[in-house]
Amino acid sequence: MTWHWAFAWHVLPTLLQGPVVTVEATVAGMFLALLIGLLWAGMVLSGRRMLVWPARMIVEFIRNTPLLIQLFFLYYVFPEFHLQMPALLTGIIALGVNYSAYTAEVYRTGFQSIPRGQRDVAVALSLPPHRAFLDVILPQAIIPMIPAMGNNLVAMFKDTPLLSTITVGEMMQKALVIGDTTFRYLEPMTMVGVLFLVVSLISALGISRCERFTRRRS
Amino acid sequence: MPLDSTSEPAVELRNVSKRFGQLTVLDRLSLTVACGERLFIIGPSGSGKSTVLRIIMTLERPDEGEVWINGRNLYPSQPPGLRRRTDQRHLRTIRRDVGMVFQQFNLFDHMRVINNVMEGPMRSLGLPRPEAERRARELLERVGLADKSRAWPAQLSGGQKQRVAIARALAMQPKIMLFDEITSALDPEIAAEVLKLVRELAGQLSMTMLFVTHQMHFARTMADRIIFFDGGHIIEQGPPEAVLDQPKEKRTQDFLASLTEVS
Amino acid sequence: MPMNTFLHLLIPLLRGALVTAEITAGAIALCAVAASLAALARLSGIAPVAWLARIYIEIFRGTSAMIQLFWVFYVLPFFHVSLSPMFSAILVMGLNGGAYGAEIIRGAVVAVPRGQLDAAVAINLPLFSRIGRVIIPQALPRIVPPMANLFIDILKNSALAGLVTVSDLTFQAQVLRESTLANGEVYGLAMLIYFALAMVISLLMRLLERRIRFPVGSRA
Repeated sequence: MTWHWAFAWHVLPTLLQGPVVTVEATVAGMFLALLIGLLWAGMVLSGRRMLVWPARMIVEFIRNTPLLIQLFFLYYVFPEFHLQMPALLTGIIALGVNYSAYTAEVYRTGFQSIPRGQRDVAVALSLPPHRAFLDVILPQAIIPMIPAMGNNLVAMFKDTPLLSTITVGEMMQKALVIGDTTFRYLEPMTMVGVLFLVVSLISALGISRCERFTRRRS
Repeated sequence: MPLDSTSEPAVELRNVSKRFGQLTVLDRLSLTVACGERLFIIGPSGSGKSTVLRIIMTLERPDEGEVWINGRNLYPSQPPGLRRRTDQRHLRTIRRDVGMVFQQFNLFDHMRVINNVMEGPMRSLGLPRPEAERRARELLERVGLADKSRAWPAQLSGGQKQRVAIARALAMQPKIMLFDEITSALDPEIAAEVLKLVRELAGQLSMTMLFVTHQMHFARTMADRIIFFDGGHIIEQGPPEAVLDQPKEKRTQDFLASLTEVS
Repeated sequence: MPMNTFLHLLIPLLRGALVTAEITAGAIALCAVAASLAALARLSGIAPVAWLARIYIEIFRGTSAMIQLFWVFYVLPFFHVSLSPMFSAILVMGLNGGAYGAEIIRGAVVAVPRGQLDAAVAINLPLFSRIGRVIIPQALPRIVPPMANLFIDILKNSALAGLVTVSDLTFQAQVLRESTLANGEVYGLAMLIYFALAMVISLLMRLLERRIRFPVGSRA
């Protein structure tokens, strides 16, 4: 089997339709994960047993079961409740819920790592609670969280091929279709792999640059 | 301490240079230590004193020059440029005669005290376990920690850790012992106890001993020779009375003066 | 849900769970080996070897397990390399995990204080003893907990095997869904079984953690 450049070039445009969907799924999924994760983190940080326990259990359950099964669960169960969702939306919800377990952890460690002293300072300056939170705690908490959230974003991006199993036409799906119709899998699958690799490497560089920046600020 | 200056020297450095990046720590240093000698190296921080000990212990390799221990060249064939090739087996046979006690103790945290002391004899000297254990117990007794043999290093105080470290080094029965600022990480009272132990051991054993230290009174009573080191060079050397009481060089005088200021 | 329906669902799923367990176990073993070798390669200081390891790590970490699996399953046959689906799954999951594991091991080894190595040289320990009796025991407490998470990730990734015709838990769940149309129950049950398997791994790793632990004070 040899590599045919002509063929590779020929299928590139088709393949590149995939990334649009991939990016949509990743961005929307991350947005959802950030929101839901905040919910879990809030419940755990509240300290109220009624909230802490269910949140912890849900997060544990999500983290210890495969994303693929969660995806299938939502995809096949939504119709049972008469919810006709487009596949992409189901995929986004699955990604969002799954990754909320990880963003929750980032939130939790981020907030808990703020030295006690900062909260005391806010009190000493007689700042009202919401001001204390917004102006003192939040900025300090958010910056170190960015690299970790960045890692989650990249991980989610790498998980988007799973959506192809529920007929979402992202990059992997396109590659498989090309392969199925032309019987040449080598070029499309390799190019998809390379595309992922390139994005991963670039984002890894970006994240480590972020990390250096946040370390300098602290 | 009777020095054996007729037999070959215990340690000989010939034109040793050592650089760390842009910094030249040792510059064509030549130094001879006689068999059984008690040599003290003093000087400001960063002067390269510890590096001398580390080179003798083979923890660092000189960029230029030769290192001879008990009449044997550590790095025999040294073609310029071919850095990698150190004959490990050759090195190990020579290194067997050298032991070192560190400023930060460096006890093996994952082993109990008794195992720390037994490790060298068992794994390096090939002693069978019962014999290694017997030797370890004797040494722990000697340093006054027989009751701590089953303890973990994390459970010991600084002074206790250092005493175990001394026992561990002695278990190898080295001919040359190196002491790299062994009390710098200890409180003064504890430091005094450790030094008292070292003094006792020095009286009982006849090995060559090299000390890097800031403890001048200790140096005065123990040393056969004191070397004042600065900027990678020997500035002055001689018997304690000469160097400590009547230093000839200005730098030596300044250094000794600065010590009394601090205390 | 009536009992016999429940069993009707459970038994095929458990059969699939057995296959999942096999794949996971095989992949974990391969992962441990690959991670150790790659970490060793990067730490060796021998430039070409370290470079190869770096490339392996970047490629397997930079692409997702699914892509790697599909590549092995769909593309390799054209290079006259035909691996059974089961073997493909174990190979990919193992190598994928190994890439992440290599960094865990390397980080833990580098974190062992330099002084410990100095002391090992000072008592003239031979190279293998320095590594096996001093470095590794002190690196293990920083290796086992993250590896536990990695092994659970391998378990979760094994679910992809069903997509390349391996009759694992996920595959059986798909089959059951098509035949019984009890979607929620099937996948819900499958998730519970995965969760149970993950807890087993967690428990085993925690037992291991206890065995390699030693008291640590503050480093003077």
